[in-house]
Amino acid sequence: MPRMRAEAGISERSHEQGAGTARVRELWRTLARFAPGATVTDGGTPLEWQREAASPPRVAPMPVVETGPSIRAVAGSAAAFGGFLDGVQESRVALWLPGGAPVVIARVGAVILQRTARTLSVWPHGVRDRTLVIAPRARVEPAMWEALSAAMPLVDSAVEDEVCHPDSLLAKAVHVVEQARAAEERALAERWATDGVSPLCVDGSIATLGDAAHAPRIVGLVKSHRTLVSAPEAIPALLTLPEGHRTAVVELTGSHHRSRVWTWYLRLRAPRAADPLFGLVRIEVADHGEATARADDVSRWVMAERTPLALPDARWDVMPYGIARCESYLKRGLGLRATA
Amino acid sequence: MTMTPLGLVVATERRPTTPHSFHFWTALDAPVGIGTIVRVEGDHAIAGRRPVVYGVVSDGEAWTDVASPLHEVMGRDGDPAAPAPPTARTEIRLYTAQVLRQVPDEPLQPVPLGAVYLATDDDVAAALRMDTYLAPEDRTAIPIGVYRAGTVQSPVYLDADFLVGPEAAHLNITGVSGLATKTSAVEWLMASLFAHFPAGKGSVAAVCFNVKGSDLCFLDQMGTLTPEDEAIYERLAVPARPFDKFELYAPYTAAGWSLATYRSHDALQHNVSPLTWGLGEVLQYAEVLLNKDDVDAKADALIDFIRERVVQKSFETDTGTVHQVLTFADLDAWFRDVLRFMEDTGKEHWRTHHAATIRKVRNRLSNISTRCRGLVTDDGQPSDLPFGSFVDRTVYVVDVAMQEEDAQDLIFARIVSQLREHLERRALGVDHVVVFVDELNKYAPSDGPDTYVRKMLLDIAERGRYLGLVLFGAQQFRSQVHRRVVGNCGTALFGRMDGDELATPGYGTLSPAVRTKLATLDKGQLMVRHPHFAQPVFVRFPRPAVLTGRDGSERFPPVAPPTLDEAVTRSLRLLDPAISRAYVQEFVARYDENDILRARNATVRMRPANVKAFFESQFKGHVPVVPVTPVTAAPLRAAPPLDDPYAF
Repeated sequence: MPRMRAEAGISERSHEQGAGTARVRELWRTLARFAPGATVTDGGTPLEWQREAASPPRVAPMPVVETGPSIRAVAGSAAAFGGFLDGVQESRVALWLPGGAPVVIARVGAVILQRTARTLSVWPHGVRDRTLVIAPRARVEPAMWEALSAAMPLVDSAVEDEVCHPDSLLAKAVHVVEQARAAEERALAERWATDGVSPLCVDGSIATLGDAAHAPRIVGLVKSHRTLVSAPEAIPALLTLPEGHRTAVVELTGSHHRSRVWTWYLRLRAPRAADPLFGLVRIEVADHGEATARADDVSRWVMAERTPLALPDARWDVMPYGIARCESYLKRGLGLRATA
Repeated sequence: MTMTPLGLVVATERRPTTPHSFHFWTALDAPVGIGTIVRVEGDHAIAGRRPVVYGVVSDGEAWTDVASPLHEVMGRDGDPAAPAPPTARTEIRLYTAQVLRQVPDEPLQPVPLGAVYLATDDDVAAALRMDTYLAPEDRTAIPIGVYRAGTVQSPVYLDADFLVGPEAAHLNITGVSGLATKTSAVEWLMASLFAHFPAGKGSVAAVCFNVKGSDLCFLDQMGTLTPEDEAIYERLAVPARPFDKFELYAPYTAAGWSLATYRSHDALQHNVSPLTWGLGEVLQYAEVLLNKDDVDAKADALIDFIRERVVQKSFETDTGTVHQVLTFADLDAWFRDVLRFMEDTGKEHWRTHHAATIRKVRNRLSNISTRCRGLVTDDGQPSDLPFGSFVDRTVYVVDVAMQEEDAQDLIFARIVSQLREHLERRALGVDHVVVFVDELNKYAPSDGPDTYVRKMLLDIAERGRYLGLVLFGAQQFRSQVHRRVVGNCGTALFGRMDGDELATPGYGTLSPAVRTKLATLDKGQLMVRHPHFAQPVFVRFPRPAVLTGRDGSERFPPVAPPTLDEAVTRSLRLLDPAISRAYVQEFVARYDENDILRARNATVRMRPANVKAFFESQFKGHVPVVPVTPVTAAPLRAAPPLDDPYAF
């Protein structure tokens, strides 16, 4: 398969990009027509860019499931991933209704790029995207809600009656968008878990991927570390973890919307004095098999993805090239800003 | 059409499409390269018609998503031998194409953002506007080769009206020696021309000057073809066989015994003829051999006088001697007579011509027979190309490879002048003649003296197409050929080119990629410029179905320089195989060498039914040479002793 088939996929999907963009414009025109007295914005920057950190940094100790040393060297590398999954979302305020309710237009998308003979291409049925119009029903006049619902599929951001701060209303909308994106990612991951024949590298946690979180071929790669899954006393060792070493496997306990998974840290590149988290990723897999052997295998797979570098992406130290290509595809192919 | 597109046109503000060029991207394995012809189909109809644009790829680019080479160095830890990453970087192939044709041609708009397809046979014909001369009812197409891209192999044709005239004419081929296959290309094109020149356009023949080695000496002998060559011949409907009508002309060697040609093998003498001229023929083109210092106005006047009043006429000098000037020897006798009269009478002028001028012209003209020995006969009888009875689809090769430069110039000038004169009178025997001249930068250089030959080539290039006189010229450096010669060539072929030549301004219109391709062309590949083609196209042509000079010399090795009786026997045996060497030796023993050669030449020229009788009749009135025994005179005094070398 030609190396450019991924770009060929872009061409095939370019109509969808055009369709998606046209769909958004049509929604904007419709909204302006239905709410002549409303303030129609120019969209501005995506809401995801404006949001403050969702939660403060924290340390979360979890039970260790692997016996033996807490720091282990990873023996070499071995490319095994046959696909990469990433999703993006982009939300913009279209207008503020007279009652102070924001109408948000959002697009979400997810893609799996499969790797065959070192070449990335779009996995068949591996692209999903969706456009949403979100408004807080509790803050919108019933007649207006009905009118808008008749013209377009409207999603309620389900705010409580007492919520009235604009930022809170927008945060609710963005949360809906996040759920929509996660749903798209989950659908693709579950499809891969069923049809895929090789390991899939997922950008981010797999705990929210539903049934896919239990699939042995699904591997999650967490690149940001606002929550450190480690005992407080093990933090110094974690921050000085040498290149090519991993921590012991711990269990991330599940909840009603998160599956139980195994996780550990792996240092892809030598740490820098100015950034102890440089090159550090956290890996999540389903709790299958023998923990040490599984962690060693998956760590070797991830180590193999250190090249090619994902530069000029700012997170190149922890970003597998395949994930970067997924973002690039969604950004250029679907016209979405890459905002996970 | 249900073909799969191989690319899509892309336009950005920095790389917009224009009416004359566009860009498109393809998959990495797309069969596209420099010179590929593509078709773009627009999505939006204009005036009810979807535009179709044909283009030829002139440049290509490829890049990956790596922002800086440093990133690759970092990714491999500075080790080029490091294992390849598990994922190859995404790579793009972006091509630039020059528009060959837009359909419809009005309104002329920027190339639409449509799908790009590989051109089919019909597309190639339309793109190169060949459809106008491929129509069965008015077909004037001459195959030049096949255009290849992927699995497509489409014929490319030249328009006979623009190759042989009258709309345009002449062809020029350039390229480095040995790799550009210039001679092969011309041989192939002549075969194609002979096979496809429409009967309604008249007859055509070719006169080729063999200027080096034995390049053109075996055009009637079958060469070696590969199956690929044969497939091209079949595809282009050109018979894969050598020229069945072929004649070779060559002057004699300086000794005059045999012809100065590498085609001297006994098995190939049936269509080899001598090329010899007498005083009349040579004097007509004396200017060719005399430089400007020689031929001032006074000398020119005397030469004209001799040409008009003396040569081949009965002329009584002031001494009362009647001269019949038929040969250079006769002319020299005439000069001697005139000068003796002036010396005896003390006159400085003779019929307004100064003695110094007469001596100078005598010196220069007499020298011609020495400089062109073998070409010029003393018997005054020429053996010439069959002007007036040229035969359709015949190749006449004039072998001048062994001649001195002066003789080459003379041969070229006279033959081309004769062709022109006969064509002007419509009395050559054919309607069109292709004259093939190699090493054109030697005969028509862009700088240097304004020679007679160069003026003649300029005249052919500028006016030959009206007469049917077509110049096929070849040279290594096109930039060194007179610009009016190459500028008047309607068709230009380019083989493998030299880098320095490509750096000259004449190639500035070609993209760097096309220039690079020209510098690396394989044998058998050409870039073709033709009036119908909006952009040059690359074609492949087959090996000519004739023996190359090298192969011909191996299969038919030249015979060793013969003795006089061997040479005469060989010449006469072509007319009468019964003639034995002993028969000739009998004459050689009895007569002077010049008498023998004169008799041989006359016999060969006349081709009588009774060869022996005619040959013998040439000796009537000639006194046989009587062998005499040398008489040793007695020395006046005895030789000095051997041990005293200083004694006298």
